Amino acid sequence: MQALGGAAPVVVLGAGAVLVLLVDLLLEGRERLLRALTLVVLGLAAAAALGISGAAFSHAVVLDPLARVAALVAVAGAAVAVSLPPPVRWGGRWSAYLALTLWAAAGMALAAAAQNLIVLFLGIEVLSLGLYVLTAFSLSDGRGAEAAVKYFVLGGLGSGLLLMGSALSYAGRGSLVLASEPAWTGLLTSTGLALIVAGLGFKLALTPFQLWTADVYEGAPTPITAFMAVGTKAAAFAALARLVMVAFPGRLGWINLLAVLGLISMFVGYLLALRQPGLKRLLAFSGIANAGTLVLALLAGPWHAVAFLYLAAYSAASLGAFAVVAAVESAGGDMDSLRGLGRRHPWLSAALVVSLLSLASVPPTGGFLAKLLLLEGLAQAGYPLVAVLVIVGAVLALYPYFKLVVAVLSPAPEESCADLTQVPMAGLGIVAGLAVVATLALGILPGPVLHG
Amino acid sequence: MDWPMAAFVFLGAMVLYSAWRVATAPLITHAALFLAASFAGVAGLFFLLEADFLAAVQLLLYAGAVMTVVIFAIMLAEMRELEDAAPHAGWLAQLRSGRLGWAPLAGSVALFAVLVAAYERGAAGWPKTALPAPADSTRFVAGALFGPYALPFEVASVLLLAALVGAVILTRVEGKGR
Repeated sequence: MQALGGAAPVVVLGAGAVLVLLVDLLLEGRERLLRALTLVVLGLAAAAALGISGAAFSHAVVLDPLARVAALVAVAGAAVAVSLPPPVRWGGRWSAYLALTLWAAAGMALAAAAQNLIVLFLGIEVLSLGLYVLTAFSLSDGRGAEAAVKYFVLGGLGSGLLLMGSALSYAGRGSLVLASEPAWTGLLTSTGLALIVAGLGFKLALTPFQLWTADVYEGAPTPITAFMAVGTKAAAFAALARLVMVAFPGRLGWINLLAVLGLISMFVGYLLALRQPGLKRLLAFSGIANAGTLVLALLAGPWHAVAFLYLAAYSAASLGAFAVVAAVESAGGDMDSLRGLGRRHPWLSAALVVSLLSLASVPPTGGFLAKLLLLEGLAQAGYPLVAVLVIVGAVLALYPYFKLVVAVLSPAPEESCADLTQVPMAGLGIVAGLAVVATLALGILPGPVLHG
Repeated sequence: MDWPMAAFVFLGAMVLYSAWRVATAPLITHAALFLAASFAGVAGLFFLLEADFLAAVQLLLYAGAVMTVVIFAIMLAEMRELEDAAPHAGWLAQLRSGRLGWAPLAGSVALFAVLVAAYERGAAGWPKTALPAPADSTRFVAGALFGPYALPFEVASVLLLAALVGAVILTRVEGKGR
């Protein structure tokens, strides 16, 4: 793997997908074996992301700390998508599900490590294409198909903007390389830059490009929603951060635009979360708000430590919450059946509560520490007003999360609560447990993430 | 108007009109033929730019091979008779019939105007005469494809493979097969 250099995680994931398809062809659909094989591939990719750094393929990709964190988040998301129980039986289509998940993760790792606009576009396309299909995976479910079509059309629009922006900035700069030279100035380049930011905004679900998010998160199979919520955000954020690093320094107008984009997303996300009935929709709007807050982390310097911690804390908390949603769903329950879950399934409820508290930035979780460091960074970088607005947003966010926590912990008759005794708990328990451990560890011992 | 300009205007109009008809033709076979015409027009544009290799590839692969596959798919899936289910209102009426009425159309036109204005002003300083094309464009393309752009070239094939697997999965009829 050393010979592949910085491209190793992408190559491992891409080749692993082909391997899964071939093994299925030879051994005829052994679900357990295929899932185990996929997890091994993901483990190898994580090892490659951790153990290797540097450039590859004539400097087309570079595995730096930014790309490493995004790749690890994508791999974790894919592992969750593979481990959670699917909401319906998929018969012989397991291998395609696993292969598309691996390809989507490869696209995420590629987009996060991309050093030029062509590689960035291809990475975004590979991840999007995999997720379009995975969203529609339960064909019998009309909502999944509708969500996939919405995602496809609006995702296509986002990709189109990204491509158009790349073409214009190429026309303006004469280079596709994501570097500060040649400079990102001039009318054509600036127009292109705006379109690229908009295209990445679609993938990151920033307001005003977030219209697809709630419907897609709700309609997709829950394991895929979890994967999409953390993986796509990590990849698009890494790409945006790279763009900001090379194109924005010293240009106040662009930096202010970034602040406005982040603040609007944060407030729209939290305000709309106030009136969402279902947990999945709530998590969708929480995702929009957190994407906005992540963008604000780009203003705080040294931004990468804060952003890494925020991304890791958001990802761990989201994966934990989605694991519980998947459990309730595969028992045939809806969100009303969360009421009284604490009595009946204390461990799972504890995982959900810890995840929700982290999303609501309550100590001693990772979400709290990340937001605290973000505020400190914003204040030190000269954005006290933004820091105050982030606090207002955090207060707004308390209500919807606490409402759910109260519902989970409230005493309720046993019949109204989902019965999870029939749900296969092995993968699910591990996912929820690891997510809780990660959430708490990030809040207490954030050292490894903070120092890259 | 000298002849390259005239050819450019003709080919550009052909590409745009064909692309428009791909989206609006009521019969899907007609849409496929207009797609072929659009591809051929793009090949002509490549010829005008003296990118002879790209023009040949465009003609052979897109107007040739890809179109054959599209026509085969239409025939095999028995979609020949597939007609536009929507009532045949005027295109303007269809475009503004959504929930927000004129807003999407107005937004698109505004974005288009901004892009054209940016191009008009941003490209003002560009050279007015054509730069010399590389003498051996095939060698030039090969060098780029297997040099700095080797990774995108390979990833594009992964993209196609993922699309293929996804299309097979989504179009498989439930209950048939294993």
